[in-house]
Amino acid sequence: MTTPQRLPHPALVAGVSSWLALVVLAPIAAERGWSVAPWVYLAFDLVCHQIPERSFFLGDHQLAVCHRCAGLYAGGLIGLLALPWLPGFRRWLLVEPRRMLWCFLPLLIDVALPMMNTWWSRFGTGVVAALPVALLLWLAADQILHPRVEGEDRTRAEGSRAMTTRLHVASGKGEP
Amino acid sequence: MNSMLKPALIGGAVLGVLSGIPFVSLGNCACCAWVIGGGMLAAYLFNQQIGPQPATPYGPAAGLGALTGAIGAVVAFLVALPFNLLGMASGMTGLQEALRDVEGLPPEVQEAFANVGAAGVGIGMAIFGFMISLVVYVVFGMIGSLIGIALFGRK
Repeated sequence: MTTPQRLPHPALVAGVSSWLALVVLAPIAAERGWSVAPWVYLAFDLVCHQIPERSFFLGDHQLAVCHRCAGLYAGGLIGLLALPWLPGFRRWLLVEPRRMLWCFLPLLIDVALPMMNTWWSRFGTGVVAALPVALLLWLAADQILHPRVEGEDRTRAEGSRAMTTRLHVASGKGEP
Repeated sequence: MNSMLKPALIGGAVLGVLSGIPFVSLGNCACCAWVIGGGMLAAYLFNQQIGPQPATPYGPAAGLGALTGAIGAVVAFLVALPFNLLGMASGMTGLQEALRDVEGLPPEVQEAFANVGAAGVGIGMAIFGFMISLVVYVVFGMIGSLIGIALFGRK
């Protein structure tokens, strides 16, 4: 089982927060007539259908993404902030990573029932689905930023093995 | 790096082709499905290549996903290029219509965007689109690859 050695890196939290902030920035920019507004909407058009009936509104303007995508991005941030304080849930996921499919299941059911879902089901299932993804991002950043941890462990283990061999040789028992 | 190149090329090619063809590319409106799928495919192939590992390689998988996304963005740009050249004018109109559908967008913003289109900066739009898709595909490719390595990873 791989567990993150440190809290999520501030750069990772800042990146996810900025992504979410852009979603909220779009209606604020549109409200104030900033020329950046259409570009933000256009950028998120790549990843979201932006159907007004399925999007949150801030004042008179919709967010840059739909309920579900907003839930996914919010879930990513919530996951990064909350998972360090939920070791039990983290362990449950990491012992068998395929368990994250349980987190995706509500979203898949919600997608399969477009006539029955509501704004809160779309947003809520998005949040739940993004929680394990936040953990994966955290783990990846941890492995990338602190690769020496595993290396040090390996070096320590190899050193220990070499010491054992030397002791066996010195005591005339040969290599273990 | 070498073990990543082949999976990244295959995953990037698949996601790029699917994301570049008109209408088929709409799959990306569902949480960037093609990009996530391309990242997962790359992770699956990478995992087949490296075999069982003592610890799941999330760090390398993130790099693999980023590479897959970058390759996919280039492939999608190249695949979409002929379609874009054919329908540049109608595409701009469609884009402006799409922006008109964004509820509550002030008229001055819509006008500014219409003027951008009227000025005939289609190439600029294409480059802007490519830059944006590069960032988005790298991020979502990384997420897809991380999900893939978590699901298919062998210990």
